[in-house]
Amino acid sequence: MSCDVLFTSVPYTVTEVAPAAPAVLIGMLKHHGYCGKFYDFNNLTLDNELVKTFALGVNPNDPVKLDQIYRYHVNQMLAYNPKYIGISLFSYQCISSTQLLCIYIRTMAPDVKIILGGPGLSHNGLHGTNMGAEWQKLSLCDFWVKSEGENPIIKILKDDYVSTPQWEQILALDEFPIPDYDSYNWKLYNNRIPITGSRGCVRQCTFCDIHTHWKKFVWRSGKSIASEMIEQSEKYGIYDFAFTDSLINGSMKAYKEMCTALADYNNKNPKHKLTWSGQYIFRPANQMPDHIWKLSAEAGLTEVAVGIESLDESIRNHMRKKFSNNDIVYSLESMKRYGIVGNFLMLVGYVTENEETIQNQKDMFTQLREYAGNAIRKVAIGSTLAILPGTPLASMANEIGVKLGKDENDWVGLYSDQKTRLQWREDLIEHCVNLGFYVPEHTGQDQLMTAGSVLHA
Amino acid sequence: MPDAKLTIQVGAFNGTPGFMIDDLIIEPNTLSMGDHSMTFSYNYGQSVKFKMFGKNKFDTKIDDENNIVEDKFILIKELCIDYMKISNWQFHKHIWNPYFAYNNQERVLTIPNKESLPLWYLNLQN
Repeated sequence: MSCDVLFTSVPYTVTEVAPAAPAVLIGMLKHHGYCGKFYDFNNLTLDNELVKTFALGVNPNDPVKLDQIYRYHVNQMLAYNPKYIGISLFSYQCISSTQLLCIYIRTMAPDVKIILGGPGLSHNGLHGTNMGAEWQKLSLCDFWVKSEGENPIIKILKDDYVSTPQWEQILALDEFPIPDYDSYNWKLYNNRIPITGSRGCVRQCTFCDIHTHWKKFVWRSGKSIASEMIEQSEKYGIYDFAFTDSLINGSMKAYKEMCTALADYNNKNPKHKLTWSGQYIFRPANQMPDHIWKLSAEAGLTEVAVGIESLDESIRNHMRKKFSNNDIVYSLESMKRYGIVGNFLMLVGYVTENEETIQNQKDMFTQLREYAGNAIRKVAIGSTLAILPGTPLASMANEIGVKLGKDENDWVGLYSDQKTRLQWREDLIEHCVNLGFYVPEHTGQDQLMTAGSVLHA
Repeated sequence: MPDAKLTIQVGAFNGTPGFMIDDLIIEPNTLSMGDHSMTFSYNYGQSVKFKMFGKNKFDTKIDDENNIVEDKFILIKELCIDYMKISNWQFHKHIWNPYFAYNNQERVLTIPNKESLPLWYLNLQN
C-alpha cells in the first residue's frame, strides 16, 4: 500500500459528517494521475478525553499515554507509505494537535513531507495570525496552503509551489473533478456524504469574515450538483447528503435547477430517494414562494440550519441579515407543512444587544413555541459575539463605541461586557428550555468560539 | 546538524559579559546591551553548554536598599530548535533558571534524541 498524499484530519472537531476537503483533493489528485488517501485521525480519537483536552489547550495529565496514542496513529498513517502527509485543520481548535502531530511525523518519518491547510491554520478567524509561515520556519511543515487547495496540491507534487498568504479564488467550480471518497471508512460517519455547491456568501453580515475572505460568491450549476449527488449515491450506496456551503439557497437560479433535477430523480427512484440538508437563509415569500418549499421537500430537503442570530429585528438589521420576523414565521409555516426541520443558529450579545432586545428575543421565542420540536428541531445558542479581525465590526469598532480586548470575545461595548453577554446567554437558554425548545447544553462552550453560530452542535 | 536560534538579553554595567555556547565564544564587551540572536548547530541527544564569563564583583550596581539597579548579565529569552520554540517561562519551569548572574556560571541543556523529543515537547507544555 502506498500513496502520494495521505490526508488526515486533526482533533478537535465534533462532526457527524465525513470531512469534505480531503475527498475534494483526492479527486483532484486522481484526475492528475496521482494517488491520495484519507485517514480520519480526528474522528478516530473523538471519544478520547486526553486527546480532546490537549487539543483544547489543557495540559496533558498523562503525557506518556498521549505519546502512545499519537505514535499509534502516526504509525497507522505511515502504513500507507505516503510521500506527503496533508493535514487539514478545520478550526483553530486543531492548532495544538497539529503542532504535536507534526513533531511526531518529523521524528518518526523525516522523509515524509508535511503540507498544512484549512481554515484552522489561522488564529482569530480567516484574517487572523497565520500559523503556517511560523511553523515552516520551525521546520514543522514543508508547505502550507491558504484557502482553496485544489490547484496548490498539484503544484506541490510537481515541485512548483511556494507557500504564500496570497491566493486567487476559483471562480469556475464546475470545472473540477468530483470528490473521491474511496478511502473513507463510512462506518465512522452517519452515512452522509458531504457536498459543496457554492463558496462564499451572498450576505455581508457585520460579524462574519466569510465575505471578506471569499471575495465573490461562486456557485455550481444546479444540474452539476444534482449529477454529483446521484453519482456518489450510486457509487457508495449512501443517499443522504450534507451541504458544506455557507448557504444552499444563495443563488435561487441554481437552487431551483438543482431541486428540479433532484425531485425528478426522486420521483423516478422511489426506493433510493436522495435526501439532503445544509445551511440556509430565510427569504421573503416573493423570493422563496410556497411552490419552491414544496419542490425542495420533493427534492429531498430534510433539514436546514439557519443563521437567525437574533430574534430582534433591529439587531438583524444592523447585522445586515435582511429578513424580517414575518419572513421567519412564513418560512417556519412552509417547513412545517412540508416536513422540513430547522436548526436555529443564535448569537447572543451583539454590539447593539441590550436588556430590551434580549426581552424582545424572549418574546419572539414565546411566539414561536408552537414550532418547537417540529419546524424548529434545535436552537443552538452558540458563543457570545466574538469580534474577529477582517470583519466589518472590527473596522467599525471605534465609531460604534466598542473597545476591543485581549481576544475576540473580550470586548466592551456601549451596552455590555463579556460577563453581561454570558449572563444574557444563560438567560436565553433557560427561557428556550422552559418553552420546550431543544437547546444542546454544550453548544458554544468547548465548541468553536468564533463569531457566528455553531452548526455541528 | 540542525541549527538552533537563541535569543538572549544582555545586561551591561562596566561593559557586557562574554558568552559561550560550546565552542562558540563571544568575548566580553562584544555584544551591546539589549536583545541579540545567535545561531549554533546541535545534534539530537547532545548536551549543549551555555556559559557566561567576564564578570567581576564590581559589575553589579546596587542601591542603598540592596536592589540591583544595573548589572552585567545574560538572560535566555527564547530558544528555537527544530520543531519547537522554547520560551523563557518554559526554561524557568522545566529546564533551569535562564538568568546568568555570576561569572563562569554554566548551564547544560540536553537536547533529547528523536525518539524522546515529542514527549519532551509535551512535558514542556505544562
